[in-house]
Amino acid sequence: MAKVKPEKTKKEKKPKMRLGTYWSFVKGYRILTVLTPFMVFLDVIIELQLPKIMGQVVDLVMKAGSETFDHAVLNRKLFEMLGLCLVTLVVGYFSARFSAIASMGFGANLRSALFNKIQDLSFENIDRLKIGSLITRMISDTSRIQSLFSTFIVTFIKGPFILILAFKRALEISTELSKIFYFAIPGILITLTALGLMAIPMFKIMLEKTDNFNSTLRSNLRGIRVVKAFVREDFEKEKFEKVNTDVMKTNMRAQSLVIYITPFIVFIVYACMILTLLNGSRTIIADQLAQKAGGLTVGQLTTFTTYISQVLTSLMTVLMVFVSMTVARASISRVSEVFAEEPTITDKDGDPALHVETGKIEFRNVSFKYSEDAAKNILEDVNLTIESGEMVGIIGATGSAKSTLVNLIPRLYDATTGEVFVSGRNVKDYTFQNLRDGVSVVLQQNLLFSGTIAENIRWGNPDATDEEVIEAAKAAQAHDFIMEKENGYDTELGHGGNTVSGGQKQRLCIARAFVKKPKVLILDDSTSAVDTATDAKIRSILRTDAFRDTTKIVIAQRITSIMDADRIIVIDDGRINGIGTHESLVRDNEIYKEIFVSQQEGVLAQ
Amino acid sequence: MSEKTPLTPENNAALTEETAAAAVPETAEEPAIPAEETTVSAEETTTPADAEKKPRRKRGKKADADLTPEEKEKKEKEKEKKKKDKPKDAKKAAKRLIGYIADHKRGLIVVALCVILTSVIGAVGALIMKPVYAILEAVVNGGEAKASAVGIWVDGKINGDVAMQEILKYLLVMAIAYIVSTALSLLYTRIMLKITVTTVAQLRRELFNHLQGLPIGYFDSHKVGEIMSRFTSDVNRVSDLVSDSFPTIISAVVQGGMTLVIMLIYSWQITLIMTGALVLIVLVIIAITSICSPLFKKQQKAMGECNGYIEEYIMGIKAVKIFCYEDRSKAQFRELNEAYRRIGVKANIIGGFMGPIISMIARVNYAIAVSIGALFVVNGTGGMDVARLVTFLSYASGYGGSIASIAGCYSALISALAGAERIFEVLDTPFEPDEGNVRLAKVVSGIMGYEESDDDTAVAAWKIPAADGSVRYTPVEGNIQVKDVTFAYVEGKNVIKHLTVDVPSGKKVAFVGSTGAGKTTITNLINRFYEIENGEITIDGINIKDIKKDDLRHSMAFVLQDVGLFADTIKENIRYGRLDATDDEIVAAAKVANAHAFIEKLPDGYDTQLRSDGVNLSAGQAQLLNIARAALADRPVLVLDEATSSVDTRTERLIEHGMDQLMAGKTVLVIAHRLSTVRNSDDILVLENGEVIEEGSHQALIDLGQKYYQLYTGMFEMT
Repeated sequence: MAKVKPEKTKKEKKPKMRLGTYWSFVKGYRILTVLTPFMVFLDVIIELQLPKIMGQVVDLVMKAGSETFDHAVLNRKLFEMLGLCLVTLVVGYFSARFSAIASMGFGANLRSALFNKIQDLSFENIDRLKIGSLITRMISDTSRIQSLFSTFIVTFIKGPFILILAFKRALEISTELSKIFYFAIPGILITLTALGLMAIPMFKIMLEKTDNFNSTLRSNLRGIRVVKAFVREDFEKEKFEKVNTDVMKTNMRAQSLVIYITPFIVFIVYACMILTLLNGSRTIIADQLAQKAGGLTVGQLTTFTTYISQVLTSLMTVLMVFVSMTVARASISRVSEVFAEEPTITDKDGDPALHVETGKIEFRNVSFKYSEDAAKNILEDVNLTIESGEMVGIIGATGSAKSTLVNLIPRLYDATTGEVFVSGRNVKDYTFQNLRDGVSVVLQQNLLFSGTIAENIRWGNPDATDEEVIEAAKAAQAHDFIMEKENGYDTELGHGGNTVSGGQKQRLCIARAFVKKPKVLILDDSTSAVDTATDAKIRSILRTDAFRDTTKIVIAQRITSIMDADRIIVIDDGRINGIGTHESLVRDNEIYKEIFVSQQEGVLAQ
Repeated sequence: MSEKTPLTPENNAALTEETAAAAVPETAEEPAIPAEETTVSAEETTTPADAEKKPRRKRGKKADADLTPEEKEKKEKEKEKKKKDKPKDAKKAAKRLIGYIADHKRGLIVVALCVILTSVIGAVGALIMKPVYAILEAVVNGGEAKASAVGIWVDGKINGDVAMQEILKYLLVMAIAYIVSTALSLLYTRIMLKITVTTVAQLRRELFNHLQGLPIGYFDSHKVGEIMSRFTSDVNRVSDLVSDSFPTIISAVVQGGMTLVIMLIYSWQITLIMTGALVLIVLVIIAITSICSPLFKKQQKAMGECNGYIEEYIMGIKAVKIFCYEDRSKAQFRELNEAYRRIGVKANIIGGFMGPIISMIARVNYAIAVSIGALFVVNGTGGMDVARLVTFLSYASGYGGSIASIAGCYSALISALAGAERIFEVLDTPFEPDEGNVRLAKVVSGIMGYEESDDDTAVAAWKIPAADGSVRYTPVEGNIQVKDVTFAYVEGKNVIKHLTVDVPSGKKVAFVGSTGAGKTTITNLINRFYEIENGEITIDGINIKDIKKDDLRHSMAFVLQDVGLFADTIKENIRYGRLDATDDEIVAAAKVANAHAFIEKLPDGYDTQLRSDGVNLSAGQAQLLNIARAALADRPVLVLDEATSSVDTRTERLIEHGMDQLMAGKTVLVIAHRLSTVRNSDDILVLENGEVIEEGSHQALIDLGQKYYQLYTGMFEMT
């Protein structure tokens, strides 16, 4: 189970994801993706054929009565027309089918790829990108990109098709009349581009104001208790009125440019039609009077006018796709940012044959900071050796980097300088799987998942037998409350494990770590919600033979949780302030003494 | 159902019942904290620009898996209700909506006139084509009869110049008509835009202002994302209806009607055949919709499951990585994703096929018109000639278009009415009751007793009006008495049982107990976030129900569990405690809360902009700001509900002095997680299942050696 496949890493080296890279997500649907526009293309051809046939019909009908009129020809034309209609149905079905398959497929691939990518990111990447933002990218942004894709394969291809074909047909009818397009098309393009250029900054302002609106609204709703407690309703109303008016005004300003686009295009279409009729009529009359045959016919003129609106409206569709692309651009760039994110920690240099044999841990001159730009190290020059099987307590104020220190052991983060050794080997020599199989961390946040209790405990070891699961739960003091549940170990935990209390969650997380039977067990403030009696029981379990060879590292707020450890490490501001037993630290260490006194005051008072 | 004005009492009652049903708190006992939504509401992030383009989907709903069976059932029912996406009483909602739009009556009339005119011009424009083609046909086919009929037979032959002049004349009329029509459409789009944006702003304003007056219970039973979607997607649906559908319907009806009349005049036979085909189109649309909608429902469900998984596994990504669970999570996701894809493909094929079917029928319809028309011309049936046919056909294509756009508006209408109904539902939720008439006043003591005054020496007093119109003043001292209060969020589940507490002025009383014991509920009752049914609470001898809510709350300062930071600067967030506070006072308050030190370290100090979710602060720092806010407010009564739960023990010790300063001379109610903060209370009440089981000073309770002792020594879980 190598976490990062080498060929993938290569691809990810690209600093920037271009739109073309998204082509890889069409994998498996490439043929259909190409066939969709082809179907649309067929559809367009027929759509354009219809006015042509209609023109021919009109021309045929016009000869009605004269000796050149052939009834059979007319009938044939009509059947041709009906036949084409049936073809459009078939074509329509396939284009709906192909585009549905292609765009859903694209969406699914995109989501899978992004999900996989996120799974491969390191803690550092995740901290930078933020979990909430990753969820938005996974859910909203991908769906926006998917809908852009489906618009793209249908409309974007269709627009130019119609444009080119209608233009070609128009040219076939009359090059003279087609000259009108040489003015109309650039005219429309220039005007719309100008409008767009003017509107874009306004839309940007509008989006800002909308963000502002949303955040004002959201913070009001979230903080409604505070609003009411301080009787600030009127103040809030005023504040809201301001952002609301802002949105209204900027919306008005931005939209007022855009709303003129349609009337403008319609006007151009009308103008072109009138000019064409004028020109066409003049040509027909002149040809007729000059007895010139083979010139423009009335039917052709009718057809030509249809082409005018086709050409110009398809031009608009093309431009509209550009607009929706601009809108989706933000989503694309957010998603691309994730794809371009390189996992800051990889195990590609890890030796799959190397396993954690003992629980010995060594920190050599380790310093750490979360980002390169950070001015100050979070951990400063830590040197520490923990022997296999030892039980070590870590204590210190919030923000003193206790968690940071232990996170370096299973390589959740890499030391900025210095080295960390587990079982005598640099942590970088292991694969993630092997290292983390040997080093088990119970995090501060209790992260459980939908599924049964047993399934959640088995996260630690998928191959664990039922007995092993129960054994781990018993050790974590979770067995009793699990058995009290109606379905015991098969109880569904629900989304995020929210159906059990905080203390129960913590115990399940501990059981999950126990079932792994790790060489190094790290409990990062993992019993904060557990009562002291249970906490004591768990600690006494750690002292049993089952954990004799396991190195135990316990981070705690409560001194009682760690006072019986073999050694206690006091961390202050990223440095080791003192190491010793409870007795020696109470005697010699100021910080430890202070914490101890503050926590014992009440008890001592009696 | 009542057909009268929408605000009849029956309607109100019905709606209240509904909201009451929805108001079942999520956690059984202590619903004080609205579930922090982990769901990402798409509506929230949707920009207005794509809100117009994209179908609005409900996504990011909690995955079904996280619900208990009862909840699931309830949710299913709700979902069924929702998924129909149909207004329950379309007529009522429509009437009320019209009431809103009617504010812009003049503008709308102008718009309607413009639309009608442009439609007429559009139709007439096509009518002008007819003589143009007639002239051209006469020129091409020659013949005296035809040519003289159109007035181009001059001196025994067709005169090209005259023909051209004639055509020019018609085209000129057309050009004028189109210019007028363009001008009119520019005018009405402008007006429409104005109406739309003001209606949106107005709806939002009303929603917001109404929400501010709703009881806390409403917010506890509705998720933030859910309420926000009223402001975004529901309002957008209504505005889409106003901006797009209104002009479209008018023009479609006018054009459709005129087209129908003209077509009937030209050839009633072909028109009837075409109308028959249109009926077919409508039937097909209905049929496909009924096949499609269950598929789309399934698609939504699959998508919900997919998104639920995404949320859960990205929220829990760190555990995934620690347990090297990536490969399994990838595989599981692939499965869900694939299920979603499969059903999505099915739904979208049928959905996408609708367009081609409709246009096929429209085309066949058109072909029928052409073939029959051509036959008519050849046979001379119904006086049909080429020019007539060409004109007829130009109308015929427009005819289908109008019917289709009316059909399109129908679905927009249905969806807008459903949106409007949801908005009105909020607007119809009754305000929190506030019938009290005791007010706060500032008084000085004069010869005749207390007199109201703005003087600096003035103190706060309750102004109690008597039935005879006289007024009595009582100074605000902060004597709180809770007398035999029983309270339940959900009927039958009492959270507080026969609670009697006396908090004398200037004393500190603490409430402790394990989760669900009802501690936070007490604060909810004292400031009337929730109303009590049994028993009473008095402050300075006045029943809190007799005090105007604003004034009651003005007499107290709260440090609540929900920190409630706003998207503003730190300074303004602290100023929230007292709006007229000077900057110096803010700094002083921050110092009391021990927040000054960390604020100073921030790059912009007190002017640091906070994000709405306060993410740029740690939970402990946010709590310090919260305390600063209460310090600034400086009210006679202070309520501290888990005020320092996220502050680490060292910092807690540092702020101890500040807290003492903050509490000095005030009546204080403390609810604490960490018992170190309640030690020096005058009285400590230990609650269990809504009842006081122990009461006394810290020492007395420790000596008692029961529950408090166990809690204090950490023998019970206290999450």
